[in-house]
Amino acid sequence: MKKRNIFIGITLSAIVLLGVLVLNFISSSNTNNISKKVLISADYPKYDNLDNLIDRADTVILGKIVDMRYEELNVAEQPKINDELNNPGGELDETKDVYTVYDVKIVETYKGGMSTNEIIKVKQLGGVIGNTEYVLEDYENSNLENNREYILFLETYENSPASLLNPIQASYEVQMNKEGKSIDTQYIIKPNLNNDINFTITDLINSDKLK
Amino acid sequence: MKCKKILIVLTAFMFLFPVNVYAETDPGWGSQTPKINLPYPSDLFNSTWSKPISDAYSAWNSTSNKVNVRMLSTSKNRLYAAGYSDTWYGNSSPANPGPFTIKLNARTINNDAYNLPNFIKSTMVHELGHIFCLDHTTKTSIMNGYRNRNTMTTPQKFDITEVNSVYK
Repeated sequence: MKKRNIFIGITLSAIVLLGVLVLNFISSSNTNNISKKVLISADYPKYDNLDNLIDRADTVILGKIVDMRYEELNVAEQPKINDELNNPGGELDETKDVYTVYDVKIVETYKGGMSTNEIIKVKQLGGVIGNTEYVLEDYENSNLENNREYILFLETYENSPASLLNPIQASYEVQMNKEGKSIDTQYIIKPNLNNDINFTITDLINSDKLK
Repeated sequence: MKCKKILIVLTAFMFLFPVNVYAETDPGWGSQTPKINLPYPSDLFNSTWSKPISDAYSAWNSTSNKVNVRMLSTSKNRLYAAGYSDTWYGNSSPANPGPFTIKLNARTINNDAYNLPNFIKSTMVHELGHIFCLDHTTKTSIMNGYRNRNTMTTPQKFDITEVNSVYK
C-alpha cells in the first residue's frame, strides 16, 4: 500500500513537472520569437483639448476591441492628377509599413456615420512581423487591448483602415461596471501618462463641436 | 566604517532625489556619420515641394556643427512625398544600418498648414533631426511635436547642442 502511494505520488509529481516545463517552453518560445526590435519615428499632430480632437476627427466613437492582428500595409494613395499641393511627384511609394490593425465593434457613435454594432478597422503604426517587433518611438505603451472599450478619435479613408489622430491623445479607455458594461456617468481613463487631456462622457456629449 | 556610512547616505540620497539626465538623442538609431546624402529634391518633386525640402537640407548645413546633407542623384536613401492614408506628417526608418527612408504626408501637411512651404520645411528638418540621432522632446526644439510647424523651420539651439553631443 505504502509503495503504491509512493508510486502515485511520484507519477503525479512527474506529470505536474512535465506540465510546468511544457508551459514554460511555450511561453519562452513565444517571447523568444522576437529577436529584433526596430524603432520607427513619426511626427504626429498634437492637440490642446477635447474640442480640437472632435474638430479634427471625422469619426468619434465608443467601441470595443474585438480582434487584432499585424499587417504590412502600403498606405500611399493614388496620386491626384493636376493637384500640385497633394501630388508632390516623385516615384510611386510601393513600400509597406508594419501596422497593428484592430477590429472595433461600435457601441456608440458621437460623430460620423457608423452604426451601432458595426465593425470598423483601426490601424496603428507598429507591430510584429516574423521575429521583428516594430515599435513607434515614444508610444510603446499606447496599444489598445482586446475586450476593452475606448473612446476613439479617428480619421477614416476610402481604401485603408481608419487611423487614430495620434497614438497618445486619440484613445481613452472607458471604465466598466461589474457587469462589464460601460456606464452612463463613467469617466474616462487616460491610456498614457503623457496625455494631459482629460474629460468625461458628459463633456464629450455636451461639446459645442458635436452640435 | 565612516566611508561605508557616507556611501549609504549617498545611495539613499540618490534614490530620494534622482538626477535626470536630459540626453535626448539615440546615437544607436541614427546615422553613424555626420555626413549623409539624399536625392536632389528637384529631381523628384514639383517646385511647391522641392524648394522647402531643399531649404530643409540647407537649414541643417548652415548650423554650426559637423552634420551635412549632400545631394546625390545616386543616393541609396529614399525620400517620398505623397498622400498617405494616415495621420502622421512625416516618418523615418532607422539610419543605422542604412539606407534610410523618409516619408512626408501631403494629405496631413496640406490639411493643417497655413504656410505650406514652412510646414513642409519644418517636417523635413524634423525628420532629418531623427537621422542625426535626435529624439522627440518637450523642449524648444524642432523635435518637439507641439512646435508650430508654420513658423519654426530651423534646428534650434537645443538641437544643435544635442547633435554636437553625438558627433564630436
